[in-house]
Amino acid sequence: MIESRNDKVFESFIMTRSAHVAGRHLALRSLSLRKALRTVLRGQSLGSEHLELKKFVRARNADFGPTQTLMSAILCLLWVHGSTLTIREIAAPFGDAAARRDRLWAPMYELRCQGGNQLAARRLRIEALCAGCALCLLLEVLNALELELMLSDVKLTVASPNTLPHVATERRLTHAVLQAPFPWSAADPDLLLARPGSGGFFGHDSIHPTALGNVMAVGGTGSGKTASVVSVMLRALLRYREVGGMRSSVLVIDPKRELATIVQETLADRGELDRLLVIGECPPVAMFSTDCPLSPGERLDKLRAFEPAMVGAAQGNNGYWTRLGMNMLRDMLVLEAAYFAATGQRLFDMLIRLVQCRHSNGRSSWARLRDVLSHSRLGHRQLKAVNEALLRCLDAGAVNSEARNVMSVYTGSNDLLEQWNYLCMGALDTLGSHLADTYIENLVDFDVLPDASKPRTDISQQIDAGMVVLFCPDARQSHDMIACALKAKWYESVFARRGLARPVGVVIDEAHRFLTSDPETGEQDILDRCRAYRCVVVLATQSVSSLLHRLGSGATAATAVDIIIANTPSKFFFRSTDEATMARLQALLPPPPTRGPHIVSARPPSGLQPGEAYYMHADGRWGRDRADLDSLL
Amino acid sequence: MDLKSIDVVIADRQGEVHINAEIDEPAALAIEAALDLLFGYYHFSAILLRLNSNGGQLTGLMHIYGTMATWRARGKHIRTAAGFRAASAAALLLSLGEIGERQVLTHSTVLFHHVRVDASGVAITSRSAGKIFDSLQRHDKHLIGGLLQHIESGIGGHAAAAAEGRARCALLYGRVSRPKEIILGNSSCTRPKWLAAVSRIYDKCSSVDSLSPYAVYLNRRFALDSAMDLREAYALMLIDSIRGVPDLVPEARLIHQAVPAKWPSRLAP
Repeated sequence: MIESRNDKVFESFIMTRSAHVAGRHLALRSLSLRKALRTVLRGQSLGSEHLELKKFVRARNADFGPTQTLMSAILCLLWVHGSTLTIREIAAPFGDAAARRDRLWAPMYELRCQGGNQLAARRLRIEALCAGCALCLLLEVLNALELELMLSDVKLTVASPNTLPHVATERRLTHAVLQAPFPWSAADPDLLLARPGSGGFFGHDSIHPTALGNVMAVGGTGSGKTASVVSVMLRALLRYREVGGMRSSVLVIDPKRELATIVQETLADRGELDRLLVIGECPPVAMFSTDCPLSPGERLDKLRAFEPAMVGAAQGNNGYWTRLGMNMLRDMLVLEAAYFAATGQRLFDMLIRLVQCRHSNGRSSWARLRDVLSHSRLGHRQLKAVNEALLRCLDAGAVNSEARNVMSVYTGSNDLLEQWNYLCMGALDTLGSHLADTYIENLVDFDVLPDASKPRTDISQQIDAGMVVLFCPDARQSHDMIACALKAKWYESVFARRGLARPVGVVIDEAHRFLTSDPETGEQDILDRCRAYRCVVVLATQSVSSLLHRLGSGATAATAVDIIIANTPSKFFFRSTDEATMARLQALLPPPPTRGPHIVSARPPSGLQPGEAYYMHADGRWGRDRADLDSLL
Repeated sequence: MDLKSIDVVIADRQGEVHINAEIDEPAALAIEAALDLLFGYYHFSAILLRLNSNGGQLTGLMHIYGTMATWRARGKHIRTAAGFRAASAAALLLSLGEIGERQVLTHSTVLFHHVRVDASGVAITSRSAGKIFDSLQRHDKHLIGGLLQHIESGIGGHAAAAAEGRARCALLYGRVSRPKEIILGNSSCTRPKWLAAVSRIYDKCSSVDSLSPYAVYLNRRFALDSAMDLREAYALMLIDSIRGVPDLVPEARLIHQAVPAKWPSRLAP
């Protein structure tokens, strides 16, 4: 990442690098954009994979205000050929731009006349505080410059979505061009929870999705959280249709096999069993598409998020070897990708063939990589053989990568061989061993270079078809990893789905087993976006301690749990003897209005009867009650 | 615990308000605050008013009654129990507890009476005395009417209330000795005189399909202004159980499934 807060440094950097920036991640933050852009607009190009323009400094000159800043930022696109461009935190009302249009657009026309303008970023994200500003400006730029739109994934995030319909109508925008969140509206029907008039669900018969938000149920085994909350929410989500009649699409992760029956019965009652897709009875879920813009290294990083053992190992005594092992894996994947791009053949297949090592039945890159590395660990001679074969293949494919010496440095002596051994163990014992499991391959295809000819299940298509995806993981670490990956893929697809009006649900029982803390799919970063994308998330877990245990010790984990709980407005605390749960509940519920003990001290959750719970609704109402099971739908 | 106080006691399953004070206006406000705390903050579905009071003022009683009605409308239950004594306003509070959950001790004293005024030292004319008389009668009627309505709605209508009363009398006829032994600690068991009258009241209620004979009886009994035999309070449905006397049960009609419309000859008074 290149980050500069100094205009001169940035300018000189651009110039000394021969006007071509090709780093993986370029962040321009708090720069005086005028100078930065002037440098960039001289004709240099940015070829970084990820360009982030953030927190532009307002120019003192009124003519160069925030509106023009945004326009200038969009102009940067003309020279960006990377995969992702993010423009965020621009607080700029559109203002009277129309009146000043001629003056503002003049430099753009000049630029266009210089020729060859091309908007070729694969993904554009504009995160502005004002929808009108971002939308109008982008459209004006496109119209004014007669640009050919070559964006494959355009995403617009705004903090004031209410302004969007007006602008969209005025400018005749379509979702095909710009994809904005489509939050719940008042016209959407309520989720039906209990018989009308009964108030059977903690005082509610039905509830609007906005008033519900995300749901969390905390309670020990047998406390009644599944019967009182999770199954009710699941049935309501399965039955739900938005105002246009579009069926909901729901992901259900059910490690205890209690929800599977409910899903089946509910869908059967409605004659919609064709909506059910059970993971394991369908082709493996595609984790990476064949045209995925991520580099092999980024794909590896993505997979690491599903494997908390990796995070734990990195903090322990083996952290050094684990980090080296991960770097080695990354290098090997880079070589595999480069070799495939050059020759159309698989590098690991070639290595297996050349060194004639034993190979397993695995079909993915991970399995082949494991076979190669396992063979190289057998001895000095084998490592040298693999290294020579590797170099020969790369030479034959004319692959010139810095990663080509990944093995060479370890072939010098027996000591180095021992280090290679540790390194391989660090890599394979954690991530590699699970990913290379042939059983897992049947459920989720983690292959970083997927084979397009193999049948695979596309989660995006399932969501767009209103399917109910059910996964019942066993009590195995590898299954936890699959569930985490499935969840990540689901969220990713939800935020990029075509039919944004379609209601989406996620119901996860024993959620502590499947929490992740990575910035892309971790619950602490995802839940706050769900409401804007018509997604209701229902999490059921044993205790707050189990969440903390999953996310690891330390302040970061505690903060993540804080965020998760804060972003689940509807909370239900069932019987629990966990001290962290009691402390959390005590913090959430108000103190008594007069002198006296706190309700959690006076009536601790350890004394709750099965089905009885402390509840907190999104509207601030709270209490201690039990659901009326007879009246629940 | 202060013996002249209103205390809130919180257990996991039940909150209690201990009323060891005169039921005057400050006490009524304190009881209201206690109910608000127990129901509104601690979210108990049921609480217990433990009464040990000689009574108090009508205004205090009415205020508490209104507070109880408010919480009842929200589905909350208010049980009552008498300690050493529940007299006057405290006795009415005891009877206004949740039907089926009004308990006394074997040594409790309960005393019901009409509304009284203390006019000592105040000179009154016949005209003002007449106004006071009218006012007191109105209050008496209002209190008995409220009590009647509470009992009737709590049991499930006047017919059910009459059946319940008959069943309670039948229990006392059949097992009249045992409660007396336990309560009085001796074996001299004679059938109390009031039992026949009360039994006839319920018969009359059944025949006229109304609880008005019962109301008349209550009115007459309250006018006596004397401590009530706990068995009589039970028969009159003013309390539901006497702690330590398992024979007298609330909802006696449920164990007397076949309570006859007319008393059998051997039980007939």
